Amino acid sequence: MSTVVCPQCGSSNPSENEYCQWCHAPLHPEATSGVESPANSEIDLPDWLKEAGPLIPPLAESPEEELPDWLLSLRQESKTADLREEIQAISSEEPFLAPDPEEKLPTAGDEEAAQADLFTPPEPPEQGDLSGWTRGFEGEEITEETSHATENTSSSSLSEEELPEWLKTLREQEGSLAQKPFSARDESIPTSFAPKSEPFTEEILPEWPDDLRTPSEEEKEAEPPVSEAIAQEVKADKASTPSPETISPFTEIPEDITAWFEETPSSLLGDQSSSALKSPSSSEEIAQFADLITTSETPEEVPEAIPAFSEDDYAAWLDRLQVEETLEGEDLSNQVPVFIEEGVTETAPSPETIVPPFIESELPEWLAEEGSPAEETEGSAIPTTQLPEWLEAMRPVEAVAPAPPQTPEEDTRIETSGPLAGFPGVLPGEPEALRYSRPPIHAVRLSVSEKQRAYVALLESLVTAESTPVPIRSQKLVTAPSPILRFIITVLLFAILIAGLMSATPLSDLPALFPAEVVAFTTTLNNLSTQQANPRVLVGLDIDAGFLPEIRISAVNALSDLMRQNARLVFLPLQSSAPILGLSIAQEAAQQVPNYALADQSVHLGYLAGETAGLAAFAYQPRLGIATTLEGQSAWDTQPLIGVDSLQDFDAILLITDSGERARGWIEQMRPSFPERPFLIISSAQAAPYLIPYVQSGQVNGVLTGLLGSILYIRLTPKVGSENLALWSAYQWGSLTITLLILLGALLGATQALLQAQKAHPKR
Amino acid sequence: MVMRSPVATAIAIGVGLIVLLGYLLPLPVLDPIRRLFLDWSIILAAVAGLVAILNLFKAHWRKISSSRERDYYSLFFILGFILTAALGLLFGPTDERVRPLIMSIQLPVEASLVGLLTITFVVSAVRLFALRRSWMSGIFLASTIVFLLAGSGVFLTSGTSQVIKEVLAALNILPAAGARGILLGIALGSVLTGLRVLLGMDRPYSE
Repeated sequence: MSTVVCPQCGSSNPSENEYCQWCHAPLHPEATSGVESPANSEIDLPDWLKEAGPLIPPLAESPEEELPDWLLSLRQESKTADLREEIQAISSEEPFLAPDPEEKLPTAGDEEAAQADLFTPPEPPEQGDLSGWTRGFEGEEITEETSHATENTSSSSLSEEELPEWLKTLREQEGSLAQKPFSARDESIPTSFAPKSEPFTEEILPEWPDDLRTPSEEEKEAEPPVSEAIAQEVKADKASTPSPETISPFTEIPEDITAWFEETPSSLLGDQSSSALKSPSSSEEIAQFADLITTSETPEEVPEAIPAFSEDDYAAWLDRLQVEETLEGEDLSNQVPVFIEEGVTETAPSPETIVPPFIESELPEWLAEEGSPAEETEGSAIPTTQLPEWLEAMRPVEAVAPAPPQTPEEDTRIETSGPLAGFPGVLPGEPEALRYSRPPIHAVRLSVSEKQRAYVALLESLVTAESTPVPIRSQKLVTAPSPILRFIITVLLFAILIAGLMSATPLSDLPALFPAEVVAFTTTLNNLSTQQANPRVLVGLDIDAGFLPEIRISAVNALSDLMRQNARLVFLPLQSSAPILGLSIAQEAAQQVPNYALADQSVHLGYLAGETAGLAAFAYQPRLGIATTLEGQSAWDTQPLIGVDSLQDFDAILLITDSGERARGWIEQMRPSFPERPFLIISSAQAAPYLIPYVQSGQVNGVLTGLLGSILYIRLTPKVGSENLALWSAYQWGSLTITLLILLGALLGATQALLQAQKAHPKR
Repeated sequence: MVMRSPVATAIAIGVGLIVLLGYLLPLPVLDPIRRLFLDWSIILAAVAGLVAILNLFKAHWRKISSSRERDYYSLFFILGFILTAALGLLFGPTDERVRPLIMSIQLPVEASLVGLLTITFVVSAVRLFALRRSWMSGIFLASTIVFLLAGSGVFLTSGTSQVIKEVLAALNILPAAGARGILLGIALGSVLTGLRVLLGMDRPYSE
């Protein structure tokens, strides 16, 4: 029983099996491959898809004639360009390995052959000969040249006059270059492009050439050494005109030669290399190259000059070739050079095998100091620099933030619908969701001074105190005084006051010390007649009925003294009950002065509304504020007011009030319009503190306050029978009783508190 | 911010500025305007008093006529108001039959209220130290006793020593100093209130 080894897992399977019994891989890939057997794929396709035709038309089966012209030209150009790059790399870096440009580039005879081949199908490649794919390159090269020739012929058919000027100049330049012999242009080619034949030893040789290819022993025996093969080929070139078939199949050419050439600065190559490749080189130059190889006798120099490569360095042309290989079939795969096959299967070279593309001795000093890129990639060997903190803080966020995850593979999805159908990788291969990363966390440390810390602590304490519940102090309930206490105090006060009135025996002698304001009041009032006969006095009545008994004695005595001077009294009430009170006081005072004609010498104006505003109006123009008397008569036609047009027409103002606020209003409104005239006030005792400053400032000439003021005024203006010792006695007894009650209450309260404290804390 | 009563505010500011300028600048042009404004203010104040009297009568009449919690004390007010107004309108305020209404009723009642106030103060002062024992209570009680004795005139006799005289003179400075400070504060407050009214910041007339 024959067995078949599975190409996938290597296990043996019966020969009749089509799939591996272990890994289910097809045992005959050529039979199960969809590419190889499109008929099978058509069986699996639905009907509608079969009608639509093959999904991907195999490129190998599509004849060149079916392709559009533009695609055909593009293919030819790309293939030719790749081939030129290979040749340039070989000729510029390793001229001893480069084939003869005359061999690579078609000659005139070759062009004719190529034109003939363009219309003939390509011959099948032969085994052991130059690989078919290189033949294809040559054919494409020839095709390109043919196309150029065709274009030239077609363009030459046009008349020179029809061409634009810029094209003419271009043609002229091309013509001059073509006519110029290569030998002449050869002088401008720097010889430095050829590798210097530096002596070297075997120790300095890198090991990567050995790693690149580890041929089997048979291959080693079958194939001559590389240097020998090259030498033989060069010698053969010198001996006879080489044919393309005799050129070695690029086995010695490193795979990354094109990539390396792309990395070579164009400034180093210049136009000379390209021109040298494009134009056929002379035989002398070829001989020089051969001499260089033979004289150097150092085939080991090849790996030193060949740059390192990796799998990434495979040019796109190699990938495309692989695709074409799979599409064209198994026969084409056989034409792939051995070194490419091995290069594909080989793993990427290790960093140790990578050789810098430039020789250090050829590098300028500044570039040599920079170091090779391979050395720079070895970041582990270089110690990381420690940036200063301020510099780290100034770094951009992108430098600190982690880089977004990148998908290593390109998006190869092909859009199947919409206007972008057929384009691969249209949709973003990196979804936005994958780009999300955690925002960078910045360690921010606020620099706070001690003062600011104190403020922060204070603010925190305030906020904490607001949210912290504070126990409410249990306040003692203020109970109303007991009825017994109130009754006792009331009875006691009434008893003492009545006893004082009845006994008429004051606690002390009559006052013998007189305050200055009382003396000034008495003096001013009693001297009005000395300044002006029949003085006209404005008596302001701004008093409530409840306080009249307190000031009644002083008011009556003061008015009687004015009546004794035959003063003209004008009563101006500002309270609703004041007119009646004023009338009562005047009548009582008039009783003390029987000769005084109260009805003729006095007038009671009506109630002045508006309080302060009324006073202001009266002070501004007295006739404006009041028009009639209390009886309804015309006020300004009465005897006391005849000739009065302003406040200045009054000789004095006597205010009887019980309130300091009202007295202030009178002073503020009247005094500016009544300067340098006597302004006297009789007030309650409660208004005394407010009036003393006005007396001290001179705005008020004198004040009598309360019952004490009346007693003092009586003492200063002795009148027979005017002293009221009973009232003075009751006043003193009452004041002393209140003082004693307050003292007793304080003592009782303190004793009670001590007793309660002793009960609460007996140890104390 | 939308001004609630722009017209009233403009009138108040304009009138206030004119009266103020009339005080500061005695210009002949401003005098008649100032006089007119003051005359209007007196009339308006009198009308306001009349309105207040009518409002008071209406309030007590409502209490009487209310079906719920009827206040019978308001009946005495209504009767007293009607009687006094009728007598005053009929005989005049200076009539001998009208004057006892003030001197025999209103004056004793108001004086009795002041006497009751005296007794209340005394009771409170007696209980003060028992309810609130603090140094402020002590100072209040001490000052009350001192000024009661000083106001009673017992130290104003001829036999008072010179030391007591000096002490009394010093004690009289304390209330005067306090009153002066109060007056200064009142003056500053009046200026500020006037400025706020003139600037429209305070609009008591719009409430």
